[in-house]
Amino acid sequence: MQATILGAAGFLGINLVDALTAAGITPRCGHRRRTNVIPLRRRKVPLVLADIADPESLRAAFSQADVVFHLAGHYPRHGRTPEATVAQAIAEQQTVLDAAAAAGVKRLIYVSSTATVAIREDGGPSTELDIFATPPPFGAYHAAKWEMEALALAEDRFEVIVVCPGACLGPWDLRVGTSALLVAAAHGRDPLHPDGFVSPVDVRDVASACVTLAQMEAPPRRVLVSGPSISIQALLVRVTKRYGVPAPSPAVSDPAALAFADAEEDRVHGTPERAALAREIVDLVIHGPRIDATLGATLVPGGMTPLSDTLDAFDAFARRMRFIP
Amino acid sequence: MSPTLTHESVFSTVRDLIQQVSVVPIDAITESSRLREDLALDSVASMELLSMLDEVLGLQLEMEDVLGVETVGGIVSVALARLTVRASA
Repeated sequence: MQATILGAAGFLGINLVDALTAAGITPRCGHRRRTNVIPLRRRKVPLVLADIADPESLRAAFSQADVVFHLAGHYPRHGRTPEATVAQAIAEQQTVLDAAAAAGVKRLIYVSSTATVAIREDGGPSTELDIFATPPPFGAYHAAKWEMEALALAEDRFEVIVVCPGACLGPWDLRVGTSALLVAAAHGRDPLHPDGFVSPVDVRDVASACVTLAQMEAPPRRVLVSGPSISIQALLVRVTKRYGVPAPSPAVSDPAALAFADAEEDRVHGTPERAALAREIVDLVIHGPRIDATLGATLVPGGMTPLSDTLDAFDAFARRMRFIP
Repeated sequence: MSPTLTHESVFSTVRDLIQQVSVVPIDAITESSRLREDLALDSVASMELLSMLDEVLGLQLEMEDVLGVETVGGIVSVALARLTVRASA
C-alpha cells in the first residue's frame, strides 16, 4: 500500500508514522514548507513537501497514493475572527480534496474532531450518527471543524472516511496543545477551567485506528475514537493527585471561562505568548458530548489504552522534553 | 568537526536562518538575543528554526537537544556540540 500523510510532522502525524511503520507500511510524509521535521528525520521516513498553500505540492505528494491520511485540517489559532477562520478552513479543505481527486487518490482518511458530534436530546452518549445538522454556534473552532467535515462527507470523487478523535493525549504533543491543561495542573498552577465533559484518547490508539481503516475493505463512513468521557474536573483531580500538587479549584461558570479565554486571546495577540486558556478548549469542554466510541474501539487491535497508561506515556514524554518537572 | 564550520560560521548560518522566521533586522541579532523576548519567536517558530538548521548543517538533532534552548548563542552551542559528536563518531 502506498500511503501519504498530510500533516505528518504534527502530534498525530508522528504517531501515525510509527503505527504505519509497525504495520510494515512506509508512508510518504507530507509536511508544510516551514515546520519542525526533526522527529520525522530521525525516523528515516521519506519526506515530501505537501503545503496547502501550494496545491501543486499536494498533487505531487498524493500521486500514486492508495490512501491519503489528511491530518491537516485548519486549526484556528484564535477565535477573534470567526468568519475569516471558517472561510480559510473551507478553502483549504477544498484545496486538499481537489488535489486528492486530481492525483487519483482512492481513499482519503480525514481526521476531524468530536467538535462535530452533537449532544443527544435523550441524554445518552453520542455515536457516529450524532452530527450537527448546521454549523454549531459555539465559536470559530466548532464552526470550522463542522464545515470541513461537511465538505469531506459530501465528496464523491473518491472514498472518504471521517475519523473524529477525542482529546488526544500521549507522546509527541510537542506544541503542548490538548495537554496544556494537564501540564499546567502538573505544575500546580491550578488552571482556570469550565465544567463539562472531555473524552480523552491515547493518540496511539487513534493512529492505530487510522491504520486499520486504511486496510479495511468496507470501512465505516464516520467513526468516533475516544476513551470514556469524564468531567474535566475529575481529570484534573486525577492529574494533580498523580503529581502530588494541590487539588484544582472548582470549575468556573461558562461565561467566566469564555470571558477569560477571550481576554487571554486579546492579551497574547501579536506576541509569542500563548493564552493561558485557549478559547477552543473552553468551547470543547462546555459543549462536549459524552461519547460512545464502541465502533472505534473495534478498530484498535488489542483494545483501547486505559487512561492511566496514556497518562504514564504522556508523563514519560513530557519529562523527557522537560515540559514537566 | 568540519574545518569550515567554525563558531563564527555557525553563528552566521543561524543568523541567516533567523531572518526567515523573524522580522528583527539581521544586525540586531547577537548571540545573547533571546528567541522569545528579543526575536519574538514563539515555540513553534523556534522549532521551525531549529529544524531548518538541522537540515542545513546535517546535525541530526534530537528534540531533547533543542527544547530548552532560549538564546541564539544556545542554538550555536547545540549545533557545535552536535557537529563535534558527529566528527568524533
